[in-house]
Amino acid sequence: MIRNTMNPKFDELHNSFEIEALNVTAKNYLFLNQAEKKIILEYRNHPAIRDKMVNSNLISKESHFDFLQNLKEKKEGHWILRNEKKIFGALNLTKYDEKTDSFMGGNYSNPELIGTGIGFALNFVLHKLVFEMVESNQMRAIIQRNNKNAVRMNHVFGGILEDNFKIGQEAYIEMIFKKENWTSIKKDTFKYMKYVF
Amino acid sequence: MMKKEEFIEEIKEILLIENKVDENTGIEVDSMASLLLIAFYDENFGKTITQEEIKKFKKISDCIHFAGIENFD
Repeated sequence: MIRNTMNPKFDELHNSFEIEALNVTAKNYLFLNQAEKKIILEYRNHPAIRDKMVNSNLISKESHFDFLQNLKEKKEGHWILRNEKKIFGALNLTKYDEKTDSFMGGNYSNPELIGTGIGFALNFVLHKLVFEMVESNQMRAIIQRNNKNAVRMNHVFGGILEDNFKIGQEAYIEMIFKKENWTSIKKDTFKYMKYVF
Repeated sequence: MMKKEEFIEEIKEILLIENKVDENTGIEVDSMASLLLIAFYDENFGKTITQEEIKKFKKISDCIHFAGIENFD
């Protein structure tokens, strides 16, 4: 367990964790081996993944390894997720806002698993992480407006539309999720997890 | 046992279809909808289906046939 700040929320961001009920293990990026570091870059740079990201540019190997090297100084968390030893995606919590006690949440899947419902599992784990482990009050997420699947899924997880904006030609929405809603949403969404794993 | 009309309304809700439909209405099943459909078939008909199989559904009639005509009132 890493404890290096006065803020327990940020300390939690640097830990790895397990969700036994789902047979999911989450390894913090601080502890990745070389093979894992390469895998997450491959996933992130896959066209089907980066096209859905706000930053859709290819990430170079150098900037990726710099990013990993500098992570321990940052107040953000990044994890690689496994189910039965297979890597199924990555999560992150960044851009903490003290005023709203909220993080920006993000995730991307193993590109081989696109279309299998794995995005649902990633979002479930992300919500469990931010509301039960880090215990933040809110989470924000940015989604491409034309990604109907993602917009719908975020509604299922209790997302409330907060903002519409454009970056270049691409339209985005920002949604917020509240901790006070998580107990009932968890109950509604957990039942679908058995159909993903 | 479910009425066919009720089944179609459930399918419309899952697929986010607002207009009137009939059995020949074309459908498109994305990941979120396929997950909801898998759960729907399991809970209401005790039937198992995979994401790959569901994504082959092209019409409302495909949804009905998988549920099984014999399972409707």
